[in-house]
Amino acid sequence: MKRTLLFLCLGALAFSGCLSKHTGLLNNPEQWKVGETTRREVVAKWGNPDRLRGNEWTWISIDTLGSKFKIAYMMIGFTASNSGVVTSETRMTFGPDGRLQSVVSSETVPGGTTWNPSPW
Amino acid sequence: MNRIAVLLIFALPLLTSGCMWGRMKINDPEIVRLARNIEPGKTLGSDVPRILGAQPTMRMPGKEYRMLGYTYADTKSNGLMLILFNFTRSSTVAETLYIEVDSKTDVVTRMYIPPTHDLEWRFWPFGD
Amino acid sequence: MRWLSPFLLISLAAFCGCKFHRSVVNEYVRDIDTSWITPGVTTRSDIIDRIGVSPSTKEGGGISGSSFRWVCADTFTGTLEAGYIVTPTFERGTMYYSEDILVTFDREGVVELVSRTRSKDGKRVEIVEWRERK
Repeated sequence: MKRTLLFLCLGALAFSGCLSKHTGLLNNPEQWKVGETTRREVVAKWGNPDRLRGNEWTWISIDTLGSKFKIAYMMIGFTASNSGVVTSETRMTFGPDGRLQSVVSSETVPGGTTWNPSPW
Repeated sequence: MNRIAVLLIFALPLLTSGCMWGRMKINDPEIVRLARNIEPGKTLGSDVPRILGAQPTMRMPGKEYRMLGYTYADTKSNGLMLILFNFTRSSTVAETLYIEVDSKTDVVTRMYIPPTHDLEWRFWPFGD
Repeated sequence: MRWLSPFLLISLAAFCGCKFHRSVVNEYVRDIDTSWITPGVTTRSDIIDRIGVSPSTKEGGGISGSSFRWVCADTFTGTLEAGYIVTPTFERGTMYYSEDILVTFDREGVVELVSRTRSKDGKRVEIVEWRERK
């Protein structure tokens, strides 16, 4: 009887967790050479730009890391979850000859985010 | 006999298939029907939200004209749920009704009503 | 055969399920014909009459003062749920444009550039059409 009760109590205890990753496409802006790279070469690697302002083209990529931890015992549960979104933006200006004049790359969270379920 | 019974118990969930259908609409595709009450050259841009019963989802300001956009979407989700393996696919058509308004006179000059596109029920996530 | 039953039991306990989910937005973009668009000749009105205006969606695409962009957004998500009492779940997803059409205009509304790209897996992109005004 005691063993059955113990088994039931332990059986009602559950741990669960989730790790998730969603990625965009954009990496290595250092590959582009000022004065040499053309718009077509960038599009061939990264696709069409997400924002155009005259000769300034911008590519945007969004990466998300999510983590969740849950411990539940019968009807009582504790869940901690956290997700980090990093937006990477690379802004390029091209001259009248279609060649690269400048590149500016930035990330909203430099170095990216990590899996950490703690919301505090 | 025991072994066969155990094998059958484990194989049964795989043989029992579950089908799933889901539908989701974002915003109201009916605004396309209401938009036919707008008369380019007569209707004021400030009256458009009242006629359509909704605020625009997109506004593009400009010196000569401004653009109002109403985006709506329809999603069909279909799935095959075999307990150990589950395959689902969602197909969405999202369109935008555009209304061009003269910035000086606030009169609607042009309207673009998108065509309707067929949406299929598809459950297989791989391939095209 | 003695190992078979415990093996099946452990397998069932270890893998509660795999999910493969695909989401496609605006698949009709793949069928849009852009071969007739000529930079320097075709105008914005020609494109609106023959193709239409690109929708503004949260997945991307839309209009600006100088461009139209149609995208077919493809998202693939794989999920693995393992275990019973202890159940870690692992999920990985990728979103990319399987079809991407960009048309830019000058101030008079004449086409300057047609750029059409395609991707099958989100890692490699290929240019299918590229025509710009000289």
